[in-house]
Amino acid sequence: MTSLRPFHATDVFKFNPTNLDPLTETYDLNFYFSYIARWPHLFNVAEGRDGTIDAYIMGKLESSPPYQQFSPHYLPYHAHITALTVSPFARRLGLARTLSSSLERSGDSYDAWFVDLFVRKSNRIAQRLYEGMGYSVYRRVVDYYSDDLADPGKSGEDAYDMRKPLRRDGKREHVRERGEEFEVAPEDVW
Amino acid sequence: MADQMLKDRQDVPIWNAIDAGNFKQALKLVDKRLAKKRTDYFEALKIYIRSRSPLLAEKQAVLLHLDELAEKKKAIAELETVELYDEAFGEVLPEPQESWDKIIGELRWLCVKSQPKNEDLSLKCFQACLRKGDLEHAKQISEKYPEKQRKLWGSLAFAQIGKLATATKQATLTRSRQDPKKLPIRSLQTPQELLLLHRVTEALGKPEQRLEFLNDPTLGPESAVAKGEWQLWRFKLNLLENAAKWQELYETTKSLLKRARTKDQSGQLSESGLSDWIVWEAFIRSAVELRNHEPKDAVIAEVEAHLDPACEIDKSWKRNASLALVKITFVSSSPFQAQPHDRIPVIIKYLQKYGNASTAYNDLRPFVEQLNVEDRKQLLELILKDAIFEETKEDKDIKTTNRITQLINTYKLRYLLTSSLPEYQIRAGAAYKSSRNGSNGQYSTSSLRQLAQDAAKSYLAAVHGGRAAWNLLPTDTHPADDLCLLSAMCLFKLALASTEDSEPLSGAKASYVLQATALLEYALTHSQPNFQMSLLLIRLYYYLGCGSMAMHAYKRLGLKQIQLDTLSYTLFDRISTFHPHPFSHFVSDSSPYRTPIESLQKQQKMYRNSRDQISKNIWLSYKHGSYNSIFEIKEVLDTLSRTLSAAMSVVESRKISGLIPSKTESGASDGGFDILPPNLEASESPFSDTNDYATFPNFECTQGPRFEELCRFVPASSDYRTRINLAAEKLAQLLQPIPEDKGGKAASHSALQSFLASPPEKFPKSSGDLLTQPEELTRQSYDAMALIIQDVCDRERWADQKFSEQLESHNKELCESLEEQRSLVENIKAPVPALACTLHALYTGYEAGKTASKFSVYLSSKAKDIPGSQSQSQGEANQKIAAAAQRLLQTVAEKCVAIKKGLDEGGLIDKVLDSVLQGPDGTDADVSVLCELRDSLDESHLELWAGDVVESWRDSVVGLSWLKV
Ligand SMILES: CC(C)(COP(=O)(O)OP(=O)(O)OC[C@H]1O[C@@H](n2cnc3c(N)ncnc32)[C@H](O)[C@@H]1OP(=O)(O)O)[C@@H](O)C(=O)NCCC(=O)NCCS
Repeated sequence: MTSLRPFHATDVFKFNPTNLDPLTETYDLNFYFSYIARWPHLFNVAEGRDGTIDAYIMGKLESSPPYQQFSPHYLPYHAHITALTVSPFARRLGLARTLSSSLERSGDSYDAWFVDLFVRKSNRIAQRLYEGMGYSVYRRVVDYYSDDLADPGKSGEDAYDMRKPLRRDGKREHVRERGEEFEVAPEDVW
Repeated sequence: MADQMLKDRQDVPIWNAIDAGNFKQALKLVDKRLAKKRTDYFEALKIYIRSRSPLLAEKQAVLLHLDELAEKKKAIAELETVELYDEAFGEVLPEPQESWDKIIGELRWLCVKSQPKNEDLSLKCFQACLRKGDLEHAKQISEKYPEKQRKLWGSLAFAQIGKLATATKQATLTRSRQDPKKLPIRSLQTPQELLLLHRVTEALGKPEQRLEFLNDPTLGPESAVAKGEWQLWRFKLNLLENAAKWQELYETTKSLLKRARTKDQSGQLSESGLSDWIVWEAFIRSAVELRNHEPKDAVIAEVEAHLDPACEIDKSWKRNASLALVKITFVSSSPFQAQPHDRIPVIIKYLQKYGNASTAYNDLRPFVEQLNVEDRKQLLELILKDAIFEETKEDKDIKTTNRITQLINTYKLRYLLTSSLPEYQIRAGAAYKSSRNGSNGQYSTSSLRQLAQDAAKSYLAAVHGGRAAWNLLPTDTHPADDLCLLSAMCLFKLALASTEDSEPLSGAKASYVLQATALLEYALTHSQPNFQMSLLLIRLYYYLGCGSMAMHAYKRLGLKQIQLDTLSYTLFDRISTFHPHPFSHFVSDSSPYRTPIESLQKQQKMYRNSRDQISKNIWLSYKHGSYNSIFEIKEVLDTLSRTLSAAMSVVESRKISGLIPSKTESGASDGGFDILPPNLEASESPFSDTNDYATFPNFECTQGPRFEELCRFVPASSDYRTRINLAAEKLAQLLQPIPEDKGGKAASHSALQSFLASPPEKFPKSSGDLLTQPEELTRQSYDAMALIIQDVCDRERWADQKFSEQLESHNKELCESLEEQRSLVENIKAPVPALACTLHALYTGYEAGKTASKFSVYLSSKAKDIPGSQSQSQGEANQKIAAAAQRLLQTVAEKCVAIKKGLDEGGLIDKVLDSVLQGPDGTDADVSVLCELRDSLDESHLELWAGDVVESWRDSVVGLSWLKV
């Protein structure tokens, strides 16, 4: 069964099925609650039987701060997937696709230019998911992550910044080809 | 006003004079009445009349009088009188915020205070204070009626937000349709405000009103203001269902489902989310309630429309439609007279379609449970004959995710049908001819054993050759993992059904536990990220008394932040009676979690940091207009201030630091009491249970207990135990001598006074299974000690007729429970290796003995003060207590020596391996499920593991050296 609902603050007591997965980070409460405070409509849960949390998506809608206006890395108003995670027992059911398309729809309804997200370079599964939905790599952020889950010997891992243009970007001005080759430093991304 | 105040007929002329503006006459009449009888009412009436006078001097005199009245703080009992003063005040000072609070607010509050039972009075005064914005007195009044308080504030909130809702409605009606930008400032404009409207209305219990809002095009889920907020639809369906408005629910859900699969102008299925399972459930429910054929046909038609290959809706939504077909078949059996034998085909069809999805078992479980015995038998036969997935029958290769998932789903169904549904074994059918009842009388042990074996066998075949064949990321779990979990769960159940043996390693129970452990450890080498395996392992190692191995599994969970609240219990509940000392095996010296105290402190730090993080975001929500979020976040704040887990961290820290002095004194000894509100153990509201039990694997039938519950070896955390523990800590603190530099005798005296002022509650024996036996005995000892202290130290009790009788009986109870605890420790028959139950009995016994011993010292000085012969007899009783405590401590110490000595003897590794691979000595040879599979197991891994288990036992008993007499 598939059933969605808004994330409730008390879900932090119940999100272990998704958050015990190594690719899903657990942050302090400030992190989750600041999203509930600012973008409650972009934080949604897929619920299993008995109300267990099978998956959730956290998103936001924003642009770079005004002082970055003239930076080459300035981001116009866009939707961002901050976290998307599906518990290992609920994978391959289409939940990730369903949750991210709902965020795209919100992006469209708030007239955002595109949706973007960061994904580990080694996370081929997530990349496949996003590619299948029309996302492409916009740039590669070198050593964005401070560890490498696939290889504990390494001290960092690159991120792909992936994007999908929304309705507003009819001319596809905010995507580029071969973004994998476009390197930026973590301090360039906001 | 005047009407209300007509005290009796005699007052009529006075009021007539007032109404006529003839104040002189009115005053004369009042004075006459006052001369006859002075009452508060006429005093007030006089002031009121004077307040109406146009003369400034009169008005000043009135004000002065009122001021004096409030200063005196004399309560006026009659509300009418207070209201006259209120009126008078209003005549004199029409807009006088502060002085109203000071004078009239105060009078109203005094009036309420003088009649605590008069709720009507308080309600009126509360409302008056609110009207005048005197929140301080309103609050005081409402606090007098905590049960009414919510209602009172709620009415106010509702009045306010209801006004805004009406404003939105009217504005939308009169202005250009549905343009939220044009709404007036004071109206509802955002989804969050609509959610707040529902929160407030719900708090007041007005479902009809909520439905009205939801049905309103300007406030409902389709309104411009709602911006598609899905929660509003959830509310609406739920309310329609609760109100049994079946026709409306049916029409609504039918149209939602149709919209879900209809493309918009741009060719997108932009409303596909309306195919949510809750919509289907409501659709089916209403169709069934309407009880005629058309609705059921409509459900089937909608299912077909969703499943039509031309319908491009996402697979997650299509699956809902398929499941809806299963559901309608099951629920409509009786009202629509469908043949029960529809049920098996529909289940098989679903399985064939979605058997390769991990959710299939969960989806079908509630339906399979409803099958009658014949149907169950039929389904089981199909499963056992492997006759479900016909197309893939040729496909013998289980090494594809799809095939293994199908296999897992059928294994789980088999488990449900044979080993989880309680009624089954009563009516065991043909497929189980060989079955015989298990010793726990619940499941057939032979089918459990068979299932454990088959699942393990399939699992080992699937992982043979490593992960390479499976195209997995290092962070992925292995697709075959659930087979191993299922096998381990069967072994777990078998263990629970076996009794303990006189020597742990020769019994069936330990053999099953060790087999489950070995299997899971092996599986982890193929699937490091599987946290459910780690969770089960923590529990298994706990049972085995292997603290460091349990810690190792716990660390693998990598808990952080709030998870320290929800999952710490898995290892740290009762850690002080399991492994209070540093882990020296498997946990490196430099690890920040070498000692349990460090982990508990980390947990406590999280609580301290959280408060600030939470409050900050309450404010942020407010700033961003996320009003609904404020309530949710506040709920977390309240919950987190009193969780069982927080209390556990305090109790365990204190117990550990009482036993093992910490090297770094940094606040460790106070245990972190600051994270809890004071006197929590006596508070009326229960502790919040945020422990996460749901993340444990669970394939049990839905009506019975979850597996987490079934596999508890000791009673879970409970409100009851937490209160007992906190109260016990209070007593322990009292008995602790206070050094001179920390206040010495004086501090000790005041500690006693506050103990006597609010003595710990007496906890009656619980009816349920909430404490272990050693804990129950300790509870009795502590109870008796607290009562004795109250008798001996509270002079007021000495005069009581029954004083000496009572005191004697408490003394006797204490000695008895100490003695019983001693014999419990002495009777531990199988102490080597020390399983958790042994360690627990020793540590708990020691704690009880040590406290009783301190208690006798504490009491020896106090008892002297009792007058007469009682002083001497208490002195004697005290000696008896000391001796009983001493005997208990001695017995504990002796057992500890025996355990350590036993572990020094060699051959334990072989015993572990034998127990896993051969089962218990000579007896029931088929106890070992792994025996037949030994060729598929990695024996060198198994040997290393057995070595670790033994090493862990040795590490566990290090802590026993603290249990000195
Ligand atoms: C990545 C993740 C979110 C995917 O969730 P999911 O619900 O299983 O994905 P879906 O079922 O919606 O899959 C959508 C598509 O993604 C691709 N995909 C997903 N899992 C895949 C896998 N294991 N192998 C290959 N492709 C895969 C497929 O194309 C799939 O479509 P299909 O099933 O119709 O073939 C999930 O694996 C996850 O939670 N991983 C850990 C956290 C994470 O990496 N988050 C992403 C951070 S940016």
